[in-house]
Amino acid sequence: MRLLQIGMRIWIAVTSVFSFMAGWIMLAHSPKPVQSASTSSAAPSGMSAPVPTLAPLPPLDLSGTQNQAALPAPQFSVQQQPSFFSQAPVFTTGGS
Amino acid sequence: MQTLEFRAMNTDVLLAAEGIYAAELGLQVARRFIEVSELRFSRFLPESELSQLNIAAGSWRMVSTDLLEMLQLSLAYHKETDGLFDPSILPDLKRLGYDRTMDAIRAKRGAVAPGLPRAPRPSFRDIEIDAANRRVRLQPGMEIDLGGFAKGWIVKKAAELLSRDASACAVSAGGDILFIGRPGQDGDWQVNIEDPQNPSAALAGLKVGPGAVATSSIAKRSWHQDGLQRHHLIDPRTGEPAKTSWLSVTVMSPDILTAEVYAKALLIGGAGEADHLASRRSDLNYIAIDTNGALNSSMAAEDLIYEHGFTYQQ
Repeated sequence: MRLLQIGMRIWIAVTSVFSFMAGWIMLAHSPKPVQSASTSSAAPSGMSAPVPTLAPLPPLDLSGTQNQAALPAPQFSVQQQPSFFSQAPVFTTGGS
Repeated sequence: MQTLEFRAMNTDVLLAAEGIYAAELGLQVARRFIEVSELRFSRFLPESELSQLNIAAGSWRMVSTDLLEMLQLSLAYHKETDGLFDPSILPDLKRLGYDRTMDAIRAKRGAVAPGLPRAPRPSFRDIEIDAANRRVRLQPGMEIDLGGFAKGWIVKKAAELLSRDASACAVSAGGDILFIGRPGQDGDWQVNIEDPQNPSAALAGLKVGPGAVATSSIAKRSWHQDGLQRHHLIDPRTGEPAKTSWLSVTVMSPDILTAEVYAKALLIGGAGEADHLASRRSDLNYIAIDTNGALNSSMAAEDLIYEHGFTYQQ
């Protein structure tokens, strides 16, 4: 029984060292990211996917001179948040 | 108490609500209602329902239940005030230069086009209302400006919306204020009567309970035409700005539309017709300010005044 325990410990230690070394070797021989990119750029142009291009955006008409009559000016409103008071506000008869 | 202030209907609007659920949502819903209603009933927007009705004068036109309600109530008040409240004075207002918003007139320093001779216009009593079919026919040449009346109606509906989630609330829009409930359960609402000649000062402070306070003033919306000072309160009997010794009238009533109508009618009628007019409504009180800054009030209104003459702290 004791021999079995010793054997198991040796076997675990040996396989751990072997696995560590195997992983090290595999990583050392795998292509690095930079190497991968340079490889891909070195490929023939017919093999690489074309980069999509966007049509140029129309310039902003900040002066409002274009289509002023056709399009109503957009209206934006800021959602004002309520204010809190401990007492009711005092109202004023402005009149209309 | 939570409050929300913004500008709508060419005036300053203040919403206030008390109660754990009142909060933001109720205030924002009421605000949205006011903004949408303005789009529907403004005479300055050609696409509004009111403008479309004016354009269709002479023929029958379907209207919304809200506009129908306002027109029916307007007609009833028109008869009750012997015509002093008249929403069909729009042709006179336009002739006198009030043909765009007051903000737009002020932007041109109050200058408007020269006046034209007054043309006869049909009486508001001749408006035809077919309530069953929700149709209205304005007589040819008739144009309606619901103006302050629509504002009062909008304030009323907005306050009712707000009160669904609030134990107490108030809606104020350019002189029309409606209070529902009492602040702090049994408190009073405070209202300052603004000095028409000095908006930074108050001539009196009132403490009121639930109900409405509406004010009409000839000092707020005025402009110049042909070298003459004009204001928007037209005397329907003459078609000209009312010649009155009063600068403003504030009316307290349980109903905001009654307060709004009578504030206008009392101001046009002036001191000579005030008691006669006010006696038609037992639940109505008024405070009028004359050109000397003196207060003229009905008996019960004096009991509401707790403070006289003060200037606002800056």
